[in-house]
Parts: sequence; structure tokens; C-alpha cells
Amino acid sequence: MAEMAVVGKRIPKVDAREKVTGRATYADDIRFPGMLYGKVVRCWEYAHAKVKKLDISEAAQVAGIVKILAPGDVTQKGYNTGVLDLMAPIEVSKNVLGDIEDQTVFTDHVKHQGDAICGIIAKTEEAAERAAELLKVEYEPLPLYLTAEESMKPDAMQFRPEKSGNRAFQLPDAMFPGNVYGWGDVDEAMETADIIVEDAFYVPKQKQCQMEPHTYVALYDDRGRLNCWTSTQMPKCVHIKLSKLFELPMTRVKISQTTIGGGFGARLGMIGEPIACAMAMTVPGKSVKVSYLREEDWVASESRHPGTYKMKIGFRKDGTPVAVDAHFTGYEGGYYTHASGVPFTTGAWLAGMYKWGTCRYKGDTYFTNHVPCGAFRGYGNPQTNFVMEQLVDRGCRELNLDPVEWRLKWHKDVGDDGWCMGFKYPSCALDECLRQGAEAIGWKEKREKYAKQSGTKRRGLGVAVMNHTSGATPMLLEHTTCTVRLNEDVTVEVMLSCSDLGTGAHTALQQIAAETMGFSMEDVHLKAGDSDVAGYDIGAHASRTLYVGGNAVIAACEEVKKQILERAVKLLKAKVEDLEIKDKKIFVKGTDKSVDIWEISYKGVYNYIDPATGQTMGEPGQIQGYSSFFPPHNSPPFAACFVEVEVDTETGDVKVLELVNAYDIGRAIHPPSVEGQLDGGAQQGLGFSLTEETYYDEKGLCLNNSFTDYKMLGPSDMPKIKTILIEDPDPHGPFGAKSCGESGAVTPVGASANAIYHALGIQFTEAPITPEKILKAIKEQGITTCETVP
Amino acid sequence: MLLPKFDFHAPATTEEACQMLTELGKNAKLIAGGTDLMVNMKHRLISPEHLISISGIDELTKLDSSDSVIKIGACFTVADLAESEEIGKKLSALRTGARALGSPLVRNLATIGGNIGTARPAADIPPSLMVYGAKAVLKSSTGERTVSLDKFFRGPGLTEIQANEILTEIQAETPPPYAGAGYINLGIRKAQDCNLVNVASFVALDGPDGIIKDARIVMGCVGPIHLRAPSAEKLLIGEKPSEAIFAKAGAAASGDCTPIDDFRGSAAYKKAMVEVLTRRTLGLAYDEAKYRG
Repeated sequence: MAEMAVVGKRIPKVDAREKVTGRATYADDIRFPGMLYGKVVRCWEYAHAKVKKLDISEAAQVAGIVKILAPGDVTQKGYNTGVLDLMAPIEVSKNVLGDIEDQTVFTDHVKHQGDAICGIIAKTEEAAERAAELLKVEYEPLPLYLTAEESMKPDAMQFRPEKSGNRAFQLPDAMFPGNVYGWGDVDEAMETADIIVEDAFYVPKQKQCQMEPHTYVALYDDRGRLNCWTSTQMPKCVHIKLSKLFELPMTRVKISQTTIGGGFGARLGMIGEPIACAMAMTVPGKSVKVSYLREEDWVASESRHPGTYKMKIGFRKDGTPVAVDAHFTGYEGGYYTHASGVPFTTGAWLAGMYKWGTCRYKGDTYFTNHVPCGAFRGYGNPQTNFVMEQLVDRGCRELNLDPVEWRLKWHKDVGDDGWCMGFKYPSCALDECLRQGAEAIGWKEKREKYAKQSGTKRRGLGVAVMNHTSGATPMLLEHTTCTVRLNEDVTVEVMLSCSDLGTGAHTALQQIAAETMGFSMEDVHLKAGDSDVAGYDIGAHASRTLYVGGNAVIAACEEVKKQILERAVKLLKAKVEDLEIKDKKIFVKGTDKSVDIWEISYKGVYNYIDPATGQTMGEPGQIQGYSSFFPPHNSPPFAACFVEVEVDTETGDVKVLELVNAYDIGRAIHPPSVEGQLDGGAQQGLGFSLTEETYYDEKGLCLNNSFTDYKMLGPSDMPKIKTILIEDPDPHGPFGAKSCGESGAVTPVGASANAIYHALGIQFTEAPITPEKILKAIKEQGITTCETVP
Repeated sequence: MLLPKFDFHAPATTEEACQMLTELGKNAKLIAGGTDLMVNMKHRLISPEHLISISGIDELTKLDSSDSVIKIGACFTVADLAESEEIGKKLSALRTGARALGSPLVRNLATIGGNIGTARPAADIPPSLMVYGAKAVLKSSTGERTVSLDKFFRGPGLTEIQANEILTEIQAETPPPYAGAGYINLGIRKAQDCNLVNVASFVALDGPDGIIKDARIVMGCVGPIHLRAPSAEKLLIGEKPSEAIFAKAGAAASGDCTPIDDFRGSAAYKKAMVEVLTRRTLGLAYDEAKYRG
């Protein structure tokens, strides 16, 4: 690959200093004179109930209370916190997928613990909390539905009239004939299989656990504009969604995006923006701050989709996967939100992974009395990885095939259909990922060594692979606009609405601009987060920011360069095609004849009239480049992950010893950020398979809505990690780059489960694989060494 | 979530603190590191009107190991305990317990007295102290008394400490030659976790190759308070140490505990873990005892 000046360099992240010094401004750091505090009153006692009576009399007496707002005191218009209504044509979203807007700001029908029933506005936080304590609410408990299986029963209470049987979604027949995603006759193919592996799995309700709790400041100002300060990862979608909800033109809604303290999908679409804005609308001219406690985050903001996942794979003796048959049923929670997204993608990752002879996937979601599910890093991919990769290893074991060799042979490759059928993979470095990863972890030696072990502590080595995506083309809209302004001093301002969730996206986008312009990083500034300034960007989802945003930046920079060269034509008396830009100068190729860009940028702005000649000095006009970019592809990245574990067979404790992540990045624009994304992904992926689950009691109340009892892996639980970046540039990505935001959380799931399988000879169908489950399984099934396994 | 309002007092001496406690009575709570208290106050589990800080009282932050009785001030921090070479030499299992508690940030604030006084059945410090036969010194305006930790805990959050008393010091005898102890805590996470089960064991041998003349086993998270394992202790005494006898003791200890089912783990799992941890901590204790001439 050609050496570049800025792209690929290990420079400090642009926001590193402000974050490590604690000086970055988060939404909660914002304070205005006379600012009021909004407290959301939630139902904590029930997961399904009707509010019979709301007595505010005593609460209203608390000194400093400004307003107590019942459901009828704010807009009662329905909305959906998700954004599918913007990503697909509205006819498709509404009529084909059946997306609905079933959420309201406050409700008298509590559908999950934590549902918002009213709001308190007070002069101080203390007064708001005091009033919340004095509020008297009478509830009528309603029947509880905590699994899809319960909620689909014929006599179950219906969550929504238009969703019979409480089925929020299934793959629609109009788009997926027979409600199936896949190809071929699975039943017939299954008949030809020599072995069939199948099981029913449960995948957990994992929480994003972003560091920054949700906080908003909202102000309906004196010019009649609704302002919202929020750390959303989708500022432009929130912009238009709020404008629709409050029936204001977009010119009267302003989103100021604050530093994002982690997103992982939790901030995809809206969360508390409608509530904060609805409260602010009732006190014009006054800013209102609404903060969610960590304990509230668990019951009020969306989680990963849990559910049951059945899968069946038929293999021939030589390993040929003749058929895969799968059905994921998600427990959606009390509201629709992302009901139609995840049950599709979960199958898409499955379809896109291996050269299945035939494939039949069904996906659906059912309402339950839990906090709704939404986007979470991987969007269905970790669920599929847990199930598919374990069953592949079971098949390999039964057929006495090496799991790495099998994957090398059967993974999809360039020219094969990707996750979206008909859309071919443009690049794939998975072979190299598998080979280099296996080499780095010592696959052959360790697999052989651990096949003959005995004793209390058993080691195992597992592998998993994945495909993901870079943006959601062609299934969903992908669009980013970018404006690049050439300043008079030969620097550029890059203006867009791309979010940086801590991923390093702003650093990498700035590098792309600098590289394209031929400037240094110091000569580029990136302005994001102000909805008044920048044009459209669909927001951070589907790992698309760098892939789509990067190409939008390149296109706008190229437009600037084009205008510069056109003006240079006159100055250098040469043809455009004979000119090139280097070191802030325009050269006639192959000569040292040049002119400084300054002659164009400065004189274009300060276009004085020369008193001597009466003519303007230089060509007038400040140069600006603009792009409105729609990517033609989704260039999926691939990865192979290898995990080594040690299981204490007396306690069930799993120690993750080493993790090697070999990743098909295309090109690493900012390598430290790529590595950081993959390391962080490993922490969440291992959490999915080993420790993380939101637990509920029999009343549907959350048992572990705190960091004490929700077990994310801590620093001392993390293994030694080696990251291998395979740089084989993709034809569509900016400088060949593919995505890495979500996919780090995918393969550690399957690889760790397979490592445990290798150590014990036992597979676990329920995530997370806790020590207690391991010990129970050892007692029931016994440990088998894998001596027969290569 | 805001702290309830309270008045803050910072007495300079233990006497002054005792005086304040007598005067303010039930409306007051003592605060040392505050790592437990602040959380409970934020959650409005308690809302004392007065907090009396004892962390500024010099004499409560001292460690005195010059005598055969080791005296540890109640405000001696867990971080200091985790780093103390003296404690490592004389009460090694206590140092292991200190190192297992919370995170470096929590350990910097948390105190030995606090970890005992809050009487959490999952706490890391009490099991080791109990196997060393430690005692708590309780002071009030009217006098001072010493209570064995075996009789100190009354239930979750409940202790022998009376409303007018302050836990000022922990005392433990330096173990005799050929005695040793071990502590293991088990959680889902390796650190910063609330224990699922924790066990400390102590054995004293009557010589390097001798029989067990004294044994103490304390189990956490498997009852309303930290529990001794009497039947396990009994079957060890008079026996020659061996893997087999430790395994028997483990099985006996699991019969001595009374865990409950909760989402953190089933009672059956906790009992099984008591068995494993008892055997393993006895092994650690024996390894130390053999060489501590």
C-alpha cells in the first residue's frame, strides 16, 4: 500500500486531552442561569399496571415546585424512539414492516417497570426529588408476560390492537415470501445430510452500560425555538423526530450534541429527548435539565434483544453444510421500538457467513413486560455468533474436522452474497485472519495439548468468525452531507453531523480530510454537533460513520481541490489535468512552476480592488466544497477471533487467558482507535457469553439494575489481547477502510463458548455461561476430553 | 439521587466522639471511609441527621504490632492493610482479605472498622479476623469493653455495638509457631465484586509434621452473619493434615452453612462452593503453617 502522510498514523485522538483531564463538556456539565430541574416519575412497583389515581396534592406543596405534569399535560402524540421510519420509505416501514408509534411522553398504562408516568419541574433537584417521594399513585396490576411464549398465548392481554397475538413483528411475507429469509429447499437438503446438529438456545438481555448516564437540557426559547442539548448518536434524526413530535418546522428545533460518554447503540434514535422537551415546552424561556440515574437507565433505556434461538445445521461427512434452519424469537419488551430490525439482521448475519447449501431463517418478536429492546453493538450478530458458531463446532467435532480448516473452506468470500442477498462481497481477508490468528495463538499445538489433559483446571481453545457491515445499504438509507470551507489562510473547516461515540471517528474523519487535501492535521478542523450548521447525516448506526462519512469528506474535499485547480489554470496558464496539489502549492506536473494556494484562498476572500488598476486582485469568492453522499455498497468486514480459557472444574470459574482478534479492516485510518474498538468489543462480547444478563423477579422487577449486581467484566477479568489488523483495501471504503465499531463484540462470544466446549466437551445453550451453570453441567454430563478432535 | 441533608461533625479525639454520640443518640451515625454509608444514604435506606466523622482521630488510624497482641485502629485503611508487611507476616490471611476488597479507590477510603461494623455477610475482612480469634474494642463515655468477633455479629447490618459505643480497635493475637491461615473469595468478577461465597481457614499444628491442635473455619455469604463451621473444625482437631481430611472438613463445612437461593446463585451452588473453598483454604493454611516455625 502507498505510504500516506496522515492516514494510518498513530497520532493522538483529537479529543484525548479533554477527556483524560475531565474537561470535556457532557450534557450534565451544562448549567444555565435560572435552570430548572425535571424529574421523571417512574413506576417502580409494577411491570404491568394501570394508573388508577395520581394524587399530586401533597407533592405540589413542596417549596420550589414549578409544575407537576400528568400524561394529559404534555403532548399525547405517539412516537417510536427508533428511527426505522426515517431509514426506509414510510410505506415500507408502516405498511410492509408494520412499524408503529406506540410510545408517549407519559403514560397511564405501565408496560414495564420504569415506564414514565409523570414529570416534576422544580427549582432545585432536591425539591423535585422530595415531591417525587410525596406523589401518591394508585395502580391496578395487570397480568404479566415475561417471555414470548407467555405473551403469544391466545388468552393473553393484547399490548396493541393492531398486533394480534402480541406478535410485534415477523419477517413480512411481502418482502420475505413465506416469512422466510434464505434460499433453496431446506427440508430436502436436510434429508441428504449425514449428521444434523440442532439445539434451542437462549440469548441474554445485555445492557450497553455506557459510562455517561442519559442527561438532557431542553429550552423552548423566546424566539419559539426548541433547543435540546443531548449526547445522542443521531443528532439529525432526533432533530426531525422532535420537529414532527412537537409539530414545529425544523428551523425551530435545534440539537446541540454534547460530548458522548459512550453509546453502543443506547443512544441510537431518541431516549429521553421527548420527555425533556415536553417538559421544557410547558415552561417557555426556562431551561430544564433531566437526568437519568444509573438505576433508571436499566429500566428506562433500551437493551439488547434477548430471546430463544433455535438452529439446526445439516452436514455431509466431508463437512459440506447442506442446510441451515433457524428461528429467532425476540422478547421485545413493552414497546415496539426496534421490533422489526433485529429479527431480520440476526438472520442476515447467519445467511452471510457460510456457503450454506440451503438456508431458511425465521425471525419474530413478541411484546413482553420488560424495558424495550433496541440497538446494541452488533445488532443481532452476537446472538447469532453464540448459536451458529457453537453448532458449527459441534458438527466439526462429530465429523472429526478441524474448526479452523472447516471455516477456511466454507466461509463466504469475494463475489458471494453478503448479508443482503444479491449484494456481493467486494473484499474479504478472512482467510488471512484465520491463518494469522491461528498462528498467533498456537492453534495446532494447544488444541493437541489440551486434548489430553486431566486435573481440576482444564484449558480450552476456541475460534469464531463473523461478517458484519459498513452501513446498512441497500436495506436502509445511508446518507451523509459534508461541507468543507477553505479558509483564507489555507486551512479547512469540515462541517458535518457525524457522531463520535468515543470511537475515534472524528479523529479519523479529520485524518481523511487532511490526507485528501494534502494538509497536516493542524490545518483541518472538524465541526460537528450543531444542527443549525451541518446538513444531513443519518447518525451513528450499522458501523457506518467512517465508511459513509469518510467518503462524504473525501467528496467534499475533492470539490474544494477542483475549484482550487480551476482557478490555478489561469495563474499557471496550464490545463487542469496537468496540475497537482502538494505542500499547499499547485504545481504544473513535472516542473517546479507553482503558485501558493494562498494566492487563491486569501485573495478570493480579500478581493480588494487594486487602486492602481481599478481591477480586483485575484479571483473573487471563498471556496467551499459540498457533498451529499449515498454509498453504493456496505463493504462488510470479517474477523476471526481465538480465545483460550481455563475452567476451574470445581467452582465453574472461567478465566479467559488470551484473546487474539484478527480483523479484516481494509485499511486502518487511525490504528489506535481500531484497536481500541476491538478491545472494547472483546469486553462486551466476553460479557455476553460469560457474565452479563439483566435479571428479573417473578413480578417483572429488575434485580440487578446497578454495577454491583450486573456483572460486566472488569480490568482484572480481561485476558491478554493481541490484535492483528489485516489491511487489504476495500474498493469502496475511504482509502479502503471498512468498519470496526460494532463487530469487535461479535466473535469473542462464539470463540469463548467454543473454548469452554474444547475444555470440557460440554456446550452451553444458555448465555451467559456462569460458573454455576458450568458446575451443574459438569455434574450432569461429565467432562470429556477432546482426544478424538484434531 | 441526592444525599439527604445532615450535619457533619469532626471530633479530634475518641472521647469527644463518644460524647457527641451520647448527646446526639439515635439521630447520629459514625462515618469513617463512608464507602458503605454514603451508598445507603443515597438510596435513602438510612437518613441520619448527624454524621460524626472519626477518620480524623489520629489514634484510630494506628497499627501497633510491637506486642504479641496486634492492635489495629478502627480507621486503619484497607489499602494500608493490603500493603502492610507486618500484617503479611503475622496475619497473612487478613492481608489477602484486604487485597480482595473492592478496588484501589475503595480500599483507599474503606477502613477495617467499617468493614466489620457494617456487618455485611459478604464482607472480605471479617472471616480472616475471626479465624485469628480477633476481638473488637468498643468504647463509650462510660467505659470500654472487648468483644470477640465470634459474638460480635447479630444479623445483616446488626452488631453488638450499642448506640453510645464506638468500635475503636481490633486486636488479634500473633498466631503461634506452626500455625497458618488462608482466605479465598469467589465472585463472578475477579475484583470489584460482591462475593458469592468467601471462606477463611486457620490451622495450628503441634510441630512441623505434627497433628492439628487447633482449627477455625469461617464462611461468608451463606448465612445472616459470618458463620463458624463447628463440625468441620471438630473433625480436624487431633488429625494429621492431609488432602483427605481437608476434603472431609469441606464436606462438613457445607453442612454447617445455611445459604439462601437468590439471583446471584442457588443455595446448592453456594454450599458446593463452601466445600471447595474450605478444602482449598485449609490447604493454604497448612502450607503456611508447615513453614512458620
